[in-house]
Amino acid sequence: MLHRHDAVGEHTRALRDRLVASGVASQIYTEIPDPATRTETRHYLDYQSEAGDILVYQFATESAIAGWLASRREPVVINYHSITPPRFFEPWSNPIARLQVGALQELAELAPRAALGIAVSRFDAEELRRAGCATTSVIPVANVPVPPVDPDPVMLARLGGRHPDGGHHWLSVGRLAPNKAHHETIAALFVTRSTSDPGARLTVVGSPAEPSYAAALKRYTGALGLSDTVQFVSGISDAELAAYYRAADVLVMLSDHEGFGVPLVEAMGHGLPVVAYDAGAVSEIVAGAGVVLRHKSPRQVALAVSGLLADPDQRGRLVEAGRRRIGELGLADAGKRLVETVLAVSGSAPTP
Amino acid sequence: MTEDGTTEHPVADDESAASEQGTMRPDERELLSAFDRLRPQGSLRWGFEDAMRRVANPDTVLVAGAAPWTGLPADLWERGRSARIGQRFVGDVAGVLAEILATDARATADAAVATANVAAWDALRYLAARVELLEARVDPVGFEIVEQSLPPPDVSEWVDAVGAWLGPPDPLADVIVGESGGGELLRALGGAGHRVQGTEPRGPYAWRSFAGSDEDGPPSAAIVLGEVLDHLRTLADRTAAGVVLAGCVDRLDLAGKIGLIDQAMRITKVDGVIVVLTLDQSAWDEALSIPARDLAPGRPLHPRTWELLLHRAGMVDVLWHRPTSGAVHALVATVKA
Repeated sequence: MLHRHDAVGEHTRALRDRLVASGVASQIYTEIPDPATRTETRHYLDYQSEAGDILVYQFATESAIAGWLASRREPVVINYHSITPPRFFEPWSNPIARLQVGALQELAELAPRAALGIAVSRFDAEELRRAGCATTSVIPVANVPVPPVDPDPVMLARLGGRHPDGGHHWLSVGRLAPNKAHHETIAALFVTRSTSDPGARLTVVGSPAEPSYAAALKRYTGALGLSDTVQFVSGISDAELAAYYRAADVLVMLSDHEGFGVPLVEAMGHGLPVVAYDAGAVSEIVAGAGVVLRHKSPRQVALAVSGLLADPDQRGRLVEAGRRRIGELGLADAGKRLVETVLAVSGSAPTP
Repeated sequence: MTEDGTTEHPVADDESAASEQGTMRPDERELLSAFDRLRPQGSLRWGFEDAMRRVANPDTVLVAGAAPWTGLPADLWERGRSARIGQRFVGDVAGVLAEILATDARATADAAVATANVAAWDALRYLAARVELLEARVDPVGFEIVEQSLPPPDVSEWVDAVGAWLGPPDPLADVIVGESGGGELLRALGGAGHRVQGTEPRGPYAWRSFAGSDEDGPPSAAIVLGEVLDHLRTLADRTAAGVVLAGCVDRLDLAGKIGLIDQAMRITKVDGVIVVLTLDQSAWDEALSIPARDLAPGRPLHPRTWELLLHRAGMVDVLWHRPTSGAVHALVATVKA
């Protein structure tokens, strides 16, 4: 499906728009239509091949499209968005875990046949190579705005005042899904409030992707006595999210699996220091522009966050390093590079 | 900072060496384990929903849709892509056939499910709807303990007496205390030589139990962060030296209270003692807000009622001890074979 306000969906639309702007005809095909984007898509079985076509597959989950692509003669480019390992979903959602298993099987079938695999990180590129993709390229996500979106002024004003409890404001951004490990951030907040910062509070911004995990988070928050301290937010605009980044004191990301970690670069763009767990592509993306932890026990996270917030010099250095990192990652021209890389495939595709 | 940009964050001197090596202290492990126990996997609802999914979507459908080339010659793909027109034609035909085969397999599986299982499917769905109605009637509001804002009952009056009722410490069996609150009873019993295990559903109080232990070492008692009834269900038969119940015996509805007694009896060794510390009903009414009083699934029973329930459960030597300085009654009963 092509979703609005979804990372893969927005990336797909951004690629289509850039191709069209470059004078290249582009059409999005899906397996299942999303009512909100129905006019922008066609069913993949309605595809009619034309000479010179390149099929770019936005690979994020299981789909019948993968099997269909494996039988095509046109050059196939896999634009890989990382498959979350099934083990994270097994205890929470059997159907989603099975989908992830299916996705891994499809990747193993499709990757050897792809003309090119485009990954958003070296970590993801290595996954493509292990799956059998002979040629890979690393291009970061194409839809992170540089400079960042301006914060919504009303939301910023509402969030900006000093909290009555006087504590620091933690922010976590990411879907409420098991691999995002928001429960560990909540546990670390609990320890922090019990030890060094009794007024600390947390906002978690993300859609409830896995309902059983989201319900457990809320129940856990209540059991720890944090119902008035942890706020769950979803369905906000980019400008409102920007306001949260600007108003917070630190971004805490303890994900167990990240193919890129868009919130990391969003936080850096807004001058928010980052404390993150070293999983997946995190250390590759942060590269010294934040605190990256090898271990994330609740006490260690609490110590790391408290230490950072108590040291204005370190905080300033990391904020400055974060702004430089945005430039180093090449986010501003990622979209242009993506288009050029895709179009270059037509010149290198095997002759039928 | 290391070469790859990872920060080995400095650990404060007063943290244990275990933390620096990434091994958590027991209280941290329990903090995270409490969340893990909220996973639905293995629950009745989980099993039911998975079975319903398999009724509607047999695995054969997924296999057929995901791998249209299964069963066809392995080199057909390559021959279809070659420049030789005859072999290319075969490749085209094979590609079309593969799609048709996959579609047919999916349609056949769907038809088999629809025609053979529709009655069973309907019956299961109606059954699920009836169960959901029953569940909603049991606790329509879903009032959580945190919303009741009720602190653990003050059992300080009974700390010494509980130790006496339990008798000499059993070196091979734990005394289970649920809810353990801030840990006062745990520490007293532990100090008297008993092996103790606490259960406390409110995080801040459970943490206080950990914090009350020796800071330089592991907590003196094992503490489980969660509901007492859920924890008792995980313990094996006849393995506890005794059980002390407080707080939960007041909060839970009647079925929950009886569940506590049944589980306590099951896990306690013969001749072991079960202690029920129950808040006086008037003290309960005074402590709760009006909405909490109205909406809480349970309220304290009169001690006479507890005597009746403990007798009916099969316990002997049931004695009711009235408070002299506090608002908590104590009932003691012995488990017999």
